[in-house]
Amino acid sequence: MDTFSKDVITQIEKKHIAPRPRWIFIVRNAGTWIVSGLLIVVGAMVISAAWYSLFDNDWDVYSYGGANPFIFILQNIPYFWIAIALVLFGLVFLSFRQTREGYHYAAGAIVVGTIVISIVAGAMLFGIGAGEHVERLAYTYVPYYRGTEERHADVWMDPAHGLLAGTINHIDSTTQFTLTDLAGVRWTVIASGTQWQPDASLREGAVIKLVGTPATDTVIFVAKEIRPWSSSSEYRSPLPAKK
Amino acid sequence: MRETLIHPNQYALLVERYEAKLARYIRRVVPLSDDDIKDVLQDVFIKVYQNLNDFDGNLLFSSWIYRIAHNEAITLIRKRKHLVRFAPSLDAGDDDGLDAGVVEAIVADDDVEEDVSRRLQSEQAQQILDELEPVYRTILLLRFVEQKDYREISDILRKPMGTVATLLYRAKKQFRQKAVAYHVVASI
Repeated sequence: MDTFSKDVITQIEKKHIAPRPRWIFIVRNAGTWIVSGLLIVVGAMVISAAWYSLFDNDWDVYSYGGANPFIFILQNIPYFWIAIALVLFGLVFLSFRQTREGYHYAAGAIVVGTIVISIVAGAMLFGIGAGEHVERLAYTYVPYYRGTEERHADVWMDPAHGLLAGTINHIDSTTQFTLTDLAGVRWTVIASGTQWQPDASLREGAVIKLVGTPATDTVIFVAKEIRPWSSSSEYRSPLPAKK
Repeated sequence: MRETLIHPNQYALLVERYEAKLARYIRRVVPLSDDDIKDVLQDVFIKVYQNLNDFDGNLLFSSWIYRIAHNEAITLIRKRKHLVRFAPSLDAGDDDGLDAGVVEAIVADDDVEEDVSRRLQSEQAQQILDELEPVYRTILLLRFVEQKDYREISDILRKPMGTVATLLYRAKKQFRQKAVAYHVVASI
């Protein structure tokens, strides 16, 4: 044994240094994998909310409001969810790189893999309704977040341009009913020859969106087309506007 | 092997086996006095001992121990940045000085016409290496001095093989440029 190795062994013995138990390293590595997995799951939830925001949008109605299509698209991109997703992708990358095996993979492969997994898993979660749930949770609990529904309400509460949304209060006949719009104004809706979308139905309490023409100086709205407010439930009411 | 190394006498053999190699590597990565090198090396071997159970059997043991030594050296570089920036070249009489063959290997590249000075002084090479960014310096040292292959370098630096190749390419390019500037090799 040479002097240096003797010194090392002396230090080890003097300070009572012992190898750390194997389980510590196993738990640590498993922990980084679990954190990476959880971040991917959260990322997929966020992406599902982005899918909801994109798919539950009425991309065709910009023409009724006379809006510029490009501006309409820019206004309806789910920036909030995309920003959170980007942060999560970054965290997944950092976390994955901390795993025992993570350094073998190129940064681009990790990022692309994370994005692809999140988008596919997000689409599946969106398919089972998680996106809307996440969106509503965010709207309820995240301060200043306007949410998809509030943006939709802005678009659809524009009777002057033929767009109206509200709840059916009373059905007079198959072609006429009373509706209270999102601002609380009662309208008489004429629905003669109106095109009802498959998920929309004439039932009291149903929340609907209408494309049509307001009669001049009255609260009568002649509907050309009626859609459900929410694609998931015809009775789902819009969330109350934030103050 | 882990179980064997836990016994101090067996571990002493491992220390003896890697002591000189790691001392040489650390000295080239971060210029330190012999006493400081000894202290760093002692920390490295104590860390290795503490983390014996973290050794991944898929790696070469040498890659793992170099990784720990490398991390210690990099931590020191961060702590003593000023020291590295104004690092003096090694003593010409140092046994660990680079030989001309190493410089030729670094400068030589398939896409560049070679004109390597055959009588290169070792301290010139070390001086060029000292001026490179730590990441480039270490990768050149690992490849051309320690003779590690890409896989081993990837395991030591915890970087993907593609990144190792890219860093190595850039490091060689920087080294060549400085070698030309110092008239160590003819212009390229």
